[in-house]
Amino acid sequence: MEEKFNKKLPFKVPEGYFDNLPLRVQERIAATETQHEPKSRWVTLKSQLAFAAGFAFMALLSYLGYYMARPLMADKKAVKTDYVEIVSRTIYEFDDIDLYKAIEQKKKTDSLKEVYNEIPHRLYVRSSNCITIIDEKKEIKP
Amino acid sequence: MDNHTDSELLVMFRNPETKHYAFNLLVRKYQERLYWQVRKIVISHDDADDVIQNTFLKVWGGLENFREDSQLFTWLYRIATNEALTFLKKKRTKLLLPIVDVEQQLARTLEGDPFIDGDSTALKLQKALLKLPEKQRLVFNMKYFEEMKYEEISEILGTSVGALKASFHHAVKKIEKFLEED
Repeated sequence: MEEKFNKKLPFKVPEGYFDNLPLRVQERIAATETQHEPKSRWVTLKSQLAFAAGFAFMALLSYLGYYMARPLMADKKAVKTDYVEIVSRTIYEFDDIDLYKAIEQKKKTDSLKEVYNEIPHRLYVRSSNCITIIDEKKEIKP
Repeated sequence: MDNHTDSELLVMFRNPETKHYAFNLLVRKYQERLYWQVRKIVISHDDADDVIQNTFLKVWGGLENFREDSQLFTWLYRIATNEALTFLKKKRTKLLLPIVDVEQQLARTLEGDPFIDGDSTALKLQKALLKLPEKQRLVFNMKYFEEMKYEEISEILGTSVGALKASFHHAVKKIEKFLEED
């Protein structure tokens, strides 16, 4: 292969390319270093102060939020307590006789309802029994 | 100016007062060899220029931590090769091209780039090289054009000498076949 092809590459570069390349590389390095230049003390302090101020602001906001919401939470709590108290008080004030009367009244009403509901059924049963009796009589006759 | 040894350059580089000067000497010493290695991979001069500048930027950033376990040139060569391969990979991803299309694009660059010499035999060989798989092309370039030892190539590419020999052998066979068919 070496006999057929010399080792010359078919590439060329612009004139003076290798003379200028080190300078261009140095320029790129300088540009990169400017971008990554270490921050001055004041810049560092400034960013730290900004972070601290942000944190303090957030803390203040949560503090204010908590104290503004506290009365509402307290009201809710009071209502709950009152409700429990009212119920317990009502239970203690409730008279046994009243309870007995209420139960009796309820029973009466319920039994009346039951009776009203039962009437058609009973009438039907009774009438069917009569039929049965008549039938039985018929059977006896012959 | 280029007579400084690598060790001298490294000592000068570690001194903040001579750091920039030492780096300038280093660039001057190795720029051409690294450029041609990169150029053979990316073909276009403009792309090679981008890659070589990025290579030296990386060298600038990493030279402080260079431990001299390997030769400086091997280390530089490895960075340049990786940068060139990464460049092609990015090009592939950016244009959503499969490998074959990138090689075709590189072949078109061979015909259209203003910084391509008109030597027809050399061009023919480069076109044949572009038909090889990337690794084989790399090995062929380093062995045939750079006349590097397999041990050096192995250190740069991180591949065993046996595998490199096999790659080079396959590359030569394929190129011969391409050229016969052409």
